[in-house]
Amino acid sequence: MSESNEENRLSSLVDGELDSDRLNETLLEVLDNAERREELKRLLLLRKAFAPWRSAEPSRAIAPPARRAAASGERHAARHWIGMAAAAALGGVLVLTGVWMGGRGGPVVGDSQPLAPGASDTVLADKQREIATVFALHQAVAGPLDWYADTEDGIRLSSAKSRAPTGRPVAVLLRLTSAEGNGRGVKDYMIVCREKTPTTIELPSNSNQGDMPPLQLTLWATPNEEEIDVQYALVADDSLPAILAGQRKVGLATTPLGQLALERRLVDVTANAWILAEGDAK
Amino acid sequence: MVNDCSETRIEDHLPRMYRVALRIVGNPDEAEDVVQDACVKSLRGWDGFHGQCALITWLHRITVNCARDHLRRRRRGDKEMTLDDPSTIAIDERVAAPGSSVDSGALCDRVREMVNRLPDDCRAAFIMTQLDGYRYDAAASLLKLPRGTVASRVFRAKRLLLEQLGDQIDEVVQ
Repeated sequence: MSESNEENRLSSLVDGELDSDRLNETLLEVLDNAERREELKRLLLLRKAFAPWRSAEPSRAIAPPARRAAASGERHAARHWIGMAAAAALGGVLVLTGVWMGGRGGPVVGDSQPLAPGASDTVLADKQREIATVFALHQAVAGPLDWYADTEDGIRLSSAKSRAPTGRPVAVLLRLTSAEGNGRGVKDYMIVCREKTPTTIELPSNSNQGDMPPLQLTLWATPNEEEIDVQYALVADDSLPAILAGQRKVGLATTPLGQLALERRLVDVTANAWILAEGDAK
Repeated sequence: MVNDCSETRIEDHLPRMYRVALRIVGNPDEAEDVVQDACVKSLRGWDGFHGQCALITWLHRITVNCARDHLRRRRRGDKEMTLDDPSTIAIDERVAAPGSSVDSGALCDRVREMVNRLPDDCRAAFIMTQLDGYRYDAAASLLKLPRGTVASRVFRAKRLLLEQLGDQIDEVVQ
């Protein structure tokens, strides 16, 4: 082996890049050679000279952005809490009433007239995988999540109170569309919550866009065979609070939830829901 | 040997992202901002990431791009910087070696200059493995080179630095 190759091997040794057998072999050679020992010492010193670089840490903890977003969202929610409290409480009551009435087979209080069944869009496998991936990413960054809501206006999420949140994640695609049928005002929300866990989410919104007031969604998703029993209350923090609440069996096919009056116009609300396959994220 | 690719949490890579950013922008506070920016971009661009083994490479590139954007904003009015701008494979002149004392400042400056004057090819391999802390495999992936080539370039950089430092190598580590 040439001298240069031997030095190259010493350099790799110093950087911890040799497997154990080559390491032993190289060390044995070095121990018997004073010149090699000196070369090894100089390489070790050079390695040591840059050790502080390799162990440099930020002076303050760098919070992953998702956590910052969550914290921001929680602060935002706190600011709006007083204003939303009455509507939220009413929404919660309606949800609970809906659950109770639904269980008795009676009409769902607060629910609007069901929409005529239209084209049943189905969530395709690719979309399911995409959402599973996005949710997995956010959990990778922020740790286990109780819920997650994503729209073009932003992201809200809530870290789980325990390291292992109970209940499987349920994905809910919520779509708000102008009932005028002109395709205006379409708004999609991708939401993930935990099964059998009542969840209240202040949906991300863009205050610069005046077409949609802040919305608060309360969800209670319970898997039932191929579908999800979804109890919901959608509350708009408008000049006149608007509420849509009810209970539906929702699956991969688009299911109408009802209509909501926002900004003096009617908005159709539809949903798709399914159990999120966490293991298929990647 | 630690497999860099086995780490799947972005959080696990934050310290290394910080070191890369610090080396490029030269200021701890700005480096932290760069890492935050890189995290946001990585979240937004997650769909473009395929395969966990590329995570370390992917995050490095995002971090370097964010640091480069940061430098561009700082040097507003300067000519447009390119992706392979030398400043992204060098140590910013404003940064002192982490942990260095005031007395060793001049020597640290000299070491930094020597690193920045290394030939481009071996400088990139040296900086990634000796300052940023990447393993040879990860550096090879980032540089799109065989692992053996990276090892040779690292060794060549070390030999050049040791030749220039001579007996001063003992002072550098004190």
